[in-house]
Amino acid sequence: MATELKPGQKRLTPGAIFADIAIVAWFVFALFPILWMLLLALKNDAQQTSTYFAFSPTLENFGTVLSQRGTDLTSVDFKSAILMSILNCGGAVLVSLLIGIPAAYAAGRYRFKGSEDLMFNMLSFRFAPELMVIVPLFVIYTQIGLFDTVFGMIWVLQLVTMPLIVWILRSYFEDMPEDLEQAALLDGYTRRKAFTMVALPLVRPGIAAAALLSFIFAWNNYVFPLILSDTAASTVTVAITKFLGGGGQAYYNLTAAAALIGALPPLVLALTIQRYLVQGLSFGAVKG
Amino acid sequence: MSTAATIPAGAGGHATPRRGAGRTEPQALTIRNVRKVYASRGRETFEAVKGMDMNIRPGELISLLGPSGCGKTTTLRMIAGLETITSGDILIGDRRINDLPPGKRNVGVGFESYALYPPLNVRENLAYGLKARKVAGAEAQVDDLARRLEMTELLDLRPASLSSGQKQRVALARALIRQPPVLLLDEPLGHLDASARQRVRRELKLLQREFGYTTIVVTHDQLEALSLSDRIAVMNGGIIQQFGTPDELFDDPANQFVADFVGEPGINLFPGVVRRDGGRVTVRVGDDTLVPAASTPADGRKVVVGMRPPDCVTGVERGLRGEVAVFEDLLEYGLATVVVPGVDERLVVQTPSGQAWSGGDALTFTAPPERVYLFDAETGDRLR
Repeated sequence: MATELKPGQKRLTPGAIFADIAIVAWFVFALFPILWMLLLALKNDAQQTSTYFAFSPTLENFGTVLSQRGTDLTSVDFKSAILMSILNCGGAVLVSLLIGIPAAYAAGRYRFKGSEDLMFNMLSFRFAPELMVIVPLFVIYTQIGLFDTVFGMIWVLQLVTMPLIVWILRSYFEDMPEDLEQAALLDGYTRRKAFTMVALPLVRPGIAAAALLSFIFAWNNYVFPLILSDTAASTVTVAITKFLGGGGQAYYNLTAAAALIGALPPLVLALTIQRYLVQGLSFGAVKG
Repeated sequence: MSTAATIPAGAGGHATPRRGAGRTEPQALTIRNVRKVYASRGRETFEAVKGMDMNIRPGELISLLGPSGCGKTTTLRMIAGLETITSGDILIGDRRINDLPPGKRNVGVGFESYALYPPLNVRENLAYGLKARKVAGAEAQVDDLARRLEMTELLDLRPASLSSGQKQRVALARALIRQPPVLLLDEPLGHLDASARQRVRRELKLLQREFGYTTIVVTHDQLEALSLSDRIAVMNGGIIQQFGTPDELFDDPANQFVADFVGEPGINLFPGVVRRDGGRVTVRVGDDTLVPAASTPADGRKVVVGMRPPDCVTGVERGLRGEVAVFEDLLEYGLATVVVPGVDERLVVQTPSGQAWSGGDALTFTAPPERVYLFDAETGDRLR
């Protein structure tokens, strides 16, 4: 037991070795669907249903998905679907931030009559199944003309983004010592300035984390765009499934390629704000 | 020896007050029948401060001393305007400040948590309050104060890289920078280690003398209160138990709580019964007798006797007869823990330097009559 360990070096015990093997096994298990999808996306139409790992790889599918041929196959322009997804989800997150940050601050700082009920109500949007509300929503949307509009999609996606943002940010505001704002008040700042100049900058990592997380949830949403939009505002999740064909031939290889392309924007976004994200997820409290 | 109580109020006053430009004159702070009641729906109301009166003279340094939950921080926050006042008045000078927002009260507050803004360096933290008021020459004021507090080298550092002692100094500087006529400090030395605590304590006292601000320090540490303050208000259960100089609190406690809370090592408290023989009052403790200075208690009254370890006199004929259980030699003096037959509590007796006792030794001790305190067994009030 006397051997010195370098920093970060672990002692080689049967338990530690087993743990490492278990982690590797988990990675293989967890990443296998993505590997499978990647392989599928590289297969041509003739080989797409074979399960052999040996095949002649091609990048053609990615081109097909993004080209006119893909549009002809599915009657959906995949590129515009991506654009729509960015518009819908980006818009939904922005609106949620504008309304959710003040709401989270109020909920984190003040206990007022019914505040807990209100917060729970908001959370219930997250665990109520979307299918439960989709029929009335569909009726309302078609009647008031929100069906298949970006505005309508942004509105309905608030059900996805708002609870996440409010609940994540509330805990950030709760963890932030009130003394900082009170010191600002004593210095002569107004309540509003104490919020914008003291509290807000300190929860920036939290805002980044909450925004990204809710963006991904909104991006992955399938039911709302499937039912509440048609061609004009439809999103990438709906467009991907079109490659499976509606009665005609199912293009599994094109579906896989489309899914990979569709996963890129959230991935790029996550990598861009990774720095904030790590801070946001690892700092439970703001320390002075 | 009577611990820190012998430190004269006003020690450190040799620093010559500097009359810098823009220096605010210290102001009196008056608290009149102030109450704070927390009421929330479906829960019992809680009265944190129950009718408080205090007259604090300009430039005086006051401590609010008490255990946690005694209402001392609530009082401080009411003065600062961070907590509403349920009833009563608070005046700075002649001005009633109840309804003024915190920023208009012109009080400086040193928060227990320092409340330093993490993204800003020390210089920016100090200038922050001045900028809110659009004070001209903020930079020069920061430099000047930093020089006086000997923290110029800290100015470009971020709060995260400061030690807790340094943070404390910066927090203090932050409260001082606006030259407030009233300065409020919440547990200013709470997070410091023992040696830093002594140093910063002296520094704080010097600064307060130099700047002359009327200052209220909230603390639960009696040593801190005794060494810093001109006067101390001992609080418990939202009520001021006694408001007086450190000497008054130590020599003449108003009740059992004050006697118990002030003094280190702690006062011995044990039950006794008053015996009245004509005009002469004695207290029966177990099989022994003590002579108090009190003259009013009636015969047969059950009391709690208080005797401070440093007041104990050993080597006497008559007094409490006990047996030494443990002896601690602290060089300057010794502390003998003594078991007295008929008394459940173990009593601590301070013995002079050079004496050594060991377990099992018989020890007879007493205290001068004016140092034998009697408290009502029920209410804890002092009997005189």
